[in-house]
Amino acid sequence: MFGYVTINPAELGERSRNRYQAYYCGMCRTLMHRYGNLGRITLSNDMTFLLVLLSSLYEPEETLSKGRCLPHPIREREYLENELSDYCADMNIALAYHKCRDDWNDEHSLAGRAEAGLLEKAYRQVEGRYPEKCAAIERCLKDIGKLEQENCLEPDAPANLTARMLGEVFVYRGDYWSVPLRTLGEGLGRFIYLMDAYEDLPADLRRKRYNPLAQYAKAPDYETLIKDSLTMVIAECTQAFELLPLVQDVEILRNILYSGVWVRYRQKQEKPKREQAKLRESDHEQRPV
Amino acid sequence: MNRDPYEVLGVSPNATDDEIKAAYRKLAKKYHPDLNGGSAQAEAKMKEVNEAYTLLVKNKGQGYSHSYGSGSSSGNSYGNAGGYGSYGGSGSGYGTGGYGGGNQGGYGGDFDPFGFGDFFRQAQQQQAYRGNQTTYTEYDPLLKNVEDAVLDREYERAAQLLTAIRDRRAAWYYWSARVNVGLGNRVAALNYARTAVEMAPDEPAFRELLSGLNANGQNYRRYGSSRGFTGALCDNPCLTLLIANVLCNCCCLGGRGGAYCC
Repeated sequence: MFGYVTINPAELGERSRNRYQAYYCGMCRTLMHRYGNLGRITLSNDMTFLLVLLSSLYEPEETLSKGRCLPHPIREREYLENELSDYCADMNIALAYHKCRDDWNDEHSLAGRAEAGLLEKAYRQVEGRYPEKCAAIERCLKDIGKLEQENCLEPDAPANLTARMLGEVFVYRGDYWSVPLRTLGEGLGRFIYLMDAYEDLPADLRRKRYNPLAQYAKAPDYETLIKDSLTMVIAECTQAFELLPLVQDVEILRNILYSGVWVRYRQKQEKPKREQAKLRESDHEQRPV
Repeated sequence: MNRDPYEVLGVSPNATDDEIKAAYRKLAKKYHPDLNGGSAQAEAKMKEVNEAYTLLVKNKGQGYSHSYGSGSSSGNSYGNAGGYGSYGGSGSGYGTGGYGGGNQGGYGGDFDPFGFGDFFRQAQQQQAYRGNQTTYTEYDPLLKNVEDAVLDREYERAAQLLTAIRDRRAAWYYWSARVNVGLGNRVAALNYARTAVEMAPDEPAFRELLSGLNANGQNYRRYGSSRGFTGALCDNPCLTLLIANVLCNCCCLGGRGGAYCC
């Protein structure tokens, strides 16, 4: 949804990096086959993570193929697809469709509305296949919208709704593993919501937009509180994750959950430092000899 | 389950988590009902393997001991001297309720062999039943009502009672934290617990609540770095940063250091 759930390439071996790329390209291809080019632009890291996770859990037979595509016309890419690709692609469409509608509602983003309009047909198909999942997504997002309208200044309420939504999406089928899968998805949902609110806060304050952390941000220890909260919720996610009997591609999954999810956060922390460093550098240059 | 789960999975009691998982996968491939034409024998075997796996992995727990369990896994006869509380299992004293009993989370029909439903809520409950330590409510009848509501798990009511209290000292923040744990409000719980400790740093129960809330996160960081990930945040960024800066300042002759924390 927001691109936090991705690998940290610096800490992942080449073989696993290529595997992840093949999953990602495979998702793109599945979206293309099912929903055309329009489906393809909705491709997200979150649902690629879900595909790697479910594939590791259920180990279905996989198809590896190679080819060129519109975004990468020169170098051949590897595509990894399996019987779980369709489900993850469908959930990808459902989440993207609602995200676009949200953007339209929140920010009156015309692009959002246009995209939601175009995705409408694809979404109706997904809804026909997974009515319960789609109903849960819709209900949670509607409730989050309500909280935003009420200017809810407790981030937990909308974070818990995001948790419920993602938890529902992660339970692919009700089997022996559904509880850890749901808990995993819930933890990730909380993490994504909080991280997004944290990252958007400066811009939201500037533009006087709703942000659930606006009140908390006034406290002197805000940064520590956020860091500890994010760690707490991702720890709930990994606690459930570590209960699952995962072997295949477990390096990729651990890389995402223990490292990749923090990449954007660290970039944000380091940005002010980098800017300061730049300032000092230019100071240095201008100083007369 | 009658057989030793280590024996069922064919691993030694010293097996690592990854070894247990690999052993499980091997057996799961062998006995999966779909691959055995739905044979009843394979199905029974699969059930046994699933149970053995679940028992081992939830008790062994990859360094993720349940921080509130306080080693009370008395019902678990498979080693792990203390430290690994069971997830609502036999040792925890409230296992039967588990999850789904009136909680709005909606685990509904999910079969929950792990018995862990919601770590966060269970953590609260274990906290609540943890001995008869001071609860800071003896001299305050209003807070006493809050405590009663919390013990009855009526968190919404407890929250209303707290809102009505105007005299907000450290104990008020402590109880607000506990109520928010019960409601599943993580950020709020953490925030209140931090304030309580800030106001009364020497109160053991306040500190215990706060460190309990942070314990999972600490395990997460420790486990992440033991796996070689530096992406997760280190425990003490200030100190690391300081050392890095000192080192850089020494070797770069006062130039700016390029090293960041972690």
